Amino acid sequence: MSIEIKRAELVKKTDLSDTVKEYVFKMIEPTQLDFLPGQYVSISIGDGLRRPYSVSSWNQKNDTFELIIDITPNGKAINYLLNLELGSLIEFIGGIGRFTLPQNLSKRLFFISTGTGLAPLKSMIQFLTQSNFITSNNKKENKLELHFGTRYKSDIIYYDFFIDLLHKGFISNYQVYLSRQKDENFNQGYVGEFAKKLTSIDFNTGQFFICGGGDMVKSVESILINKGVSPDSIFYERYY
Amino acid sequence: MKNDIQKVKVTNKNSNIAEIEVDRDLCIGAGTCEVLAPNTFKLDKEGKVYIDDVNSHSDQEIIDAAKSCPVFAIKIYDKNGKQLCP
Repeated sequence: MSIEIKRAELVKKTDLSDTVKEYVFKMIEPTQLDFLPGQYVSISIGDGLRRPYSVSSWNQKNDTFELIIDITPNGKAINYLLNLELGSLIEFIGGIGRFTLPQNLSKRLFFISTGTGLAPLKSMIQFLTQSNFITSNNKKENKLELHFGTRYKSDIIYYDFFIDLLHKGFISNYQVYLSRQKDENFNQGYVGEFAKKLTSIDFNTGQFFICGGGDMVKSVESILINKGVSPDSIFYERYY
Repeated sequence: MKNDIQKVKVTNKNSNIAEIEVDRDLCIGAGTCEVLAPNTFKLDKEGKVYIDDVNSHSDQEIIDAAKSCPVFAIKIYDKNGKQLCP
């Protein structure tokens, strides 16, 4: 059985917060990454090991792609990635994964994440904005909401990016929830609070995309089920 | 509560692998194992791994698939009972 090993070059590293970095890779072989928004790549990190990282970007050509790396866990994958210098090549397989947008997309989409769980949702949202999911003609019917939870204000990532999408009308609501810090500009509490402001139409017709730690995913899924959301309308990926 | 664990013996005489074990509670449904050894590791409707046909992939393919698991939910034992991975 042969699996296509792909290669890409690290071309940019950016600090998104004290503990999270964005890596941008340029595709070398093949020159375009074939994947669906929400999928991940499985990177070879040596000793026959590989680790999955969700692609956090989407562009028409996909000749480059981005990953969001949380450097907090001290493991082989993080050490491997931290030691990569600009110009280094990585080997990987992918895109892989079932956490993708369904064919029968609802008009009301809710994206819920914590931490680096934002990565696949960002790719999906970029795809949807580039596909004109919300336009000036349909913005009354179509909803695209992002609810992002984290502990402290300093952990927020891509804030300006999503505020810009909000101001341009590509997304209809963007809320940040801080679980361990009070700040008048953000909601206080866990990301599951988002459900309090939804309407029965949202619960009945919406689709919900959740990504982050297992406990958060379970908790949000349970809130939605209790609100009457069909399990078929809940899509999730657990990071641990 | 006991974990949801599936163990399957490998009967192929040419294989050095004796047993494959998956911990379905640990599994987060990443699915790289299913890509690397699709006949042996499959994801069910809930996105949890289960073991199917253990005789249609090489030992190396099965070991590579086990080593790709980010949460170490797959264990491989050889015929001497030694754990080959993780």
